[in-house]
Amino acid sequence: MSTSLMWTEKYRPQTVGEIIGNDEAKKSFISWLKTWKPGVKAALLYGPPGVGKTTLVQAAAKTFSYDLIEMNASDTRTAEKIMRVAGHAASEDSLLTHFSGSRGTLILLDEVDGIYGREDQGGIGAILRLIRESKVPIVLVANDISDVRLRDLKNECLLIPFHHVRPPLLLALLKELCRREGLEAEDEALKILVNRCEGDVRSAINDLQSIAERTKHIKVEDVERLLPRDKQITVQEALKKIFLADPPSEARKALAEVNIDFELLHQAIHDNLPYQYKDPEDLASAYDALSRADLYFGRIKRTKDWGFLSYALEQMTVGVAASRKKSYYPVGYRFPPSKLILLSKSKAERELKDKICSLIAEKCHVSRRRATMDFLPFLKAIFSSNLEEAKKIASWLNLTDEMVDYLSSGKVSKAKKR
Amino acid sequence: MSEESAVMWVEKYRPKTLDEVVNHKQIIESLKGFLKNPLTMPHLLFAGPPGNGKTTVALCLARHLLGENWRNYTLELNASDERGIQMVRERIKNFTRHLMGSMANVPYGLVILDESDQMTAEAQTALRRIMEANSRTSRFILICNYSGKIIEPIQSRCAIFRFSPLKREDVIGYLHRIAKNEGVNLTDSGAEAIIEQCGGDLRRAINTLQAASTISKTVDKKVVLQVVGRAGAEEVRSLLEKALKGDFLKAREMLYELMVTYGLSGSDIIRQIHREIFNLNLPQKTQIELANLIGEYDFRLVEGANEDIQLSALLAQLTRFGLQKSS
Repeated sequence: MSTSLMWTEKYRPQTVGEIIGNDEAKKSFISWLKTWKPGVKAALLYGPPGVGKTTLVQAAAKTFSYDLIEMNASDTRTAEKIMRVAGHAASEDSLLTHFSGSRGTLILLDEVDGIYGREDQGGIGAILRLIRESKVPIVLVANDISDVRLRDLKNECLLIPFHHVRPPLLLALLKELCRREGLEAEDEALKILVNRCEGDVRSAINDLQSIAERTKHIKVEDVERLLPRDKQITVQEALKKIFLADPPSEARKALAEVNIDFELLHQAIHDNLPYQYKDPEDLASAYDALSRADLYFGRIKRTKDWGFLSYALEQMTVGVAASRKKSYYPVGYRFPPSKLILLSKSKAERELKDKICSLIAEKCHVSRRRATMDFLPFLKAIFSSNLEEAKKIASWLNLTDEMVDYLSSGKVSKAKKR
Repeated sequence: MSEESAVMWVEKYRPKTLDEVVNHKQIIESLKGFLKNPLTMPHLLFAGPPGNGKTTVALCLARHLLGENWRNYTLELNASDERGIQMVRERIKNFTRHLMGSMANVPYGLVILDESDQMTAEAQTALRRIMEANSRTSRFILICNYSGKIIEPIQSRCAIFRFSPLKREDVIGYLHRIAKNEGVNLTDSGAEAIIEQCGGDLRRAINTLQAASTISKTVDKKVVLQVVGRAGAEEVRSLLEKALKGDFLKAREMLYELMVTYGLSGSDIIRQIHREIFNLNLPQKTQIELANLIGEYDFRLVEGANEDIQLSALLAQLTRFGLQKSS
């Protein structure tokens, strides 16, 4: 596609100064880039779509003469691929650097929040390694960084939040585009357009262009004639749609409207189900549908045949809704799933437990899994009842004080937590 | 090394030579045959329920074959602990490289791969290649609970030894010997209670005995139950009771607790639920119906992708079942 056709490309800011809004974010990013040297954290730009995150990185690379290597993290999934493309650039200065007068390479990993799907095993680990070893600056871009799986990544990055672009700025931009394209537009029409786009510059420009295809005199009706943009619904809204779908076949529609990994949605349905379908009959039969959906996910995992996906999705939406015999009111839906929250809360404890089990595994010729089942409970019993015996065992297994505390009290001592 | 001064009884009383192993007579005889000419020994596959001596026999064999410094020529791996087949391959590669220099002293190195049935079929296929590539320098002893979960091509490359479950009187005899040596008074009711809780799993039985003996030098039924109570075995029972009484939410919460804080895997939990069903005060007809339900979900657990969902679905079924029975 020729760039002149799409206004979002045609008018994409070429310098940092041309980007509207998010002044704070621009400032912190530029100062990070200017002062970056090996050992400094990577930058993670995050915020809603269409507000200029990627554009800022591209414009800055141009302004400050960096060779930009762009990778869309959700296309280039596996760890290997990331290491191959970005690891190479990160480990040595390119020849280009010497001849072009460029300051070096800047790596941009876009859509990092799309990377933790199942095929990305090791994807986040690879990025972490890359960040730690990199000799060139790395920028990560994401929409939503609330997922617990991104936690380690967040610790290694300078977080730079982006916000919706404020309406007056957006309005001024649209007016400027009208002037350049020779359009006449009613003030009111542009205001509605701005309002409709909720601070998303890209979609505002796209809308303006699509109206301009039809008319050079933009009136309020023209804006109102635009189809409603496929609005993303929240996970909570999607859950409500699925649980209370009437007829049940409507439940499937929620899938198209919510932007979430399907397996995570599956888990969210499971998490909320008992609060919604209070009747044990309905609950058991809906859970049966969820269980069947999970069987299909298992098959997909084993066979890599994504053809099974539609069966899984059907079971977890229509299958659940069709199990409903009683009528229910919406409830407050919980997200992220409580199990994930529990996992992140108990991380310190699980890590400590794992270390204890590794020590047992080494001495007693068992797996950590066996150690968890067949040793840990008994050690807890011993450590909570007989200090003397506990001491002997502790020194034989080389347990630390923290481990001893945990085994005798069942709690992780706060002081030792990093 | 550590074995002389072992504090955990499972290690302290682990047999060091094949002659000390009291059970599995036929297996021991066949293995001794290999000792006469070690080079004729094929790869071995040991299958059988947990805690009945498979690892012990493998370690004894290592001592016999490789002598005093057996540890230097033995690589112990646990399939369920290694992160993927790549790690396994890497560790075996390093091990054989290190072996090369010192092969003069031993016929070959031993790779003991425990819980090998925890590996996926793909990983096992890769393992088969690893075994082949290293067969000149190493022998493999694969240990598993179910030989059926080991792919055919590996089975056909191994001499298979099935370790039958330990007999009740053997476990009791073993416990009494340890108790006597440790100056612990193990009563008949105590021994019975341990068997009740641990079946033929000698490792669990010994750990139970040791934990009980730290509470009281006389180990009777009461002390054993006290240990078992503290050791979390009660959790599964009360989870089951909650579900059958209709409190699904509480049951699911307890399930999460078991998985997250206790770190139990889904199949460990489902097996315990299965065991507990028969301890409930229910007609046998009902017990067997429930057992069948559990079997179905154990199957789904293996086939599916998300353990939480399968186990929760089972609890929902049990909740419905409980309410039907009570109404």
